[in-house]
Amino acid sequence: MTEGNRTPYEVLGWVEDVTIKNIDLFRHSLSQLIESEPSILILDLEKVNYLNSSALGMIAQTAIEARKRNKKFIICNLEETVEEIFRVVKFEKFISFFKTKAEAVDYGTR
Amino acid sequence: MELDNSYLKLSKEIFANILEGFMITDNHHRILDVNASFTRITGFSREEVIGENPRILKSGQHGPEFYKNILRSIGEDGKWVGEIWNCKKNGEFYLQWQSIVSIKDEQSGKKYFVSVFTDITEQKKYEHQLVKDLQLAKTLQESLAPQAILEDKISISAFYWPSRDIGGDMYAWFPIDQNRYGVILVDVMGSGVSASLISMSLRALLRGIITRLVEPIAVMTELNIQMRRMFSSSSPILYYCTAIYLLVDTSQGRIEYVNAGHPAGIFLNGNEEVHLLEQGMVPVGLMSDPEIEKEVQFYEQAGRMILYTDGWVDSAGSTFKVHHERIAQVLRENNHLSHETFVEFLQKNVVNRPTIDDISVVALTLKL
Repeated sequence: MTEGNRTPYEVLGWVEDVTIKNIDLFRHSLSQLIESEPSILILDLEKVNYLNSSALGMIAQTAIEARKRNKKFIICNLEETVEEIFRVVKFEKFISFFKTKAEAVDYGTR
Repeated sequence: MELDNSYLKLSKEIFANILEGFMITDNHHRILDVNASFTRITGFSREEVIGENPRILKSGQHGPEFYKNILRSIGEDGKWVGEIWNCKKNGEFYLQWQSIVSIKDEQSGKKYFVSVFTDITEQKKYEHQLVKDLQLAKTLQESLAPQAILEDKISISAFYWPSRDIGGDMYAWFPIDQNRYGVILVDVMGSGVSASLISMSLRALLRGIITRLVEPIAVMTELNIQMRRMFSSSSPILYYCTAIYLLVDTSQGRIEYVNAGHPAGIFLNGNEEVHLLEQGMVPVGLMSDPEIEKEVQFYEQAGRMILYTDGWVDSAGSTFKVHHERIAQVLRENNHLSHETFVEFLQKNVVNRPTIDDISVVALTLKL
């Protein structure tokens, strides 16, 4: 699910809705992302249409932890429904969002 | 050949030592073999049951139709899985979780039935106790719901539909003085017992926080501090809640609010204009020192507002944008209704039953 670490960034590509059924795997995948070596961490949510409240908490926790470790945490490829959820919870106040992975990489490596 | 022998030996070891009860019967329903766990669970020794029909374990708790269904399922699908009450040698009933599969020996053409089962009686008792505890917690939660306010200048009432037995939604309102009221709606992350415990803990603090600090930024700052103190400082999981807090001044027709990552409040003012109450901060408990903005809305002659938790959007299978448009229309079309009739209308005709998340709706009717 993550790309190789030859790049200066690490991408977690998550391609299904996050519910109670797969929340533990989502938590584990985010932990791996934060522990990875690169200082640019990208969460690609293409094809995700729903995130439950626990998933939102984990994403916030990852963003806060990344900041503590001087890493950039970026989210990209949001479906309209998920973009709306993030807007409601106002995560744009502390997380950077981009439409495409290319834009996220460009921002991260700038 | 060596591999076959060692594999056979291993299979025998597994059969003898596995913690689940094991029973093999032939096509005439005669028991051919059982393992040690069978004896431990049922009390019958191997010698006592070999050649017997499994009905020696029958408890009499199930009718003939139940057993016919088992045989039909095995006949049609080759397997049956489910719960069954059986009787031990000492006459004690116990509940077992059992799977039965039919296996055909290709060489001899003979058919066998293999049953694997565990005793789940204690687990079932625990589940029943848990259900009783949840019902008690639900009663407690309901007892904390505030009484409706129905006055000339302000009416406030609410309804709550949990998705499970209990959940993390919570609302409260408090008169501050003759003209001012503090109103809050909170949705704790997650659902079930943990969310409910957190919301009840917050509920215990709210009266003090709101009546002492009154002003939206001060209330939300304190709520954030308390949430982090109670649940985030010593836990690996980041607990948070979304919330919207309003301070309504009925003498000025003025509403100050802070929205902490919560679905927008939908406000119809006296000029038929609908405003979304979205300004504020990130959810409560996420950050130690969040930036907080408040906004002020006014109503001239009258106003009506709906606050809600996102379970309503989930149950409607809608987006927030579409949902807000729909609620705005409902507010406009039913503005002539009295407060109580309007809330009844919402419950009967507008709000769907919850699916994956609780639904709370708080309605305010304001007159200047």
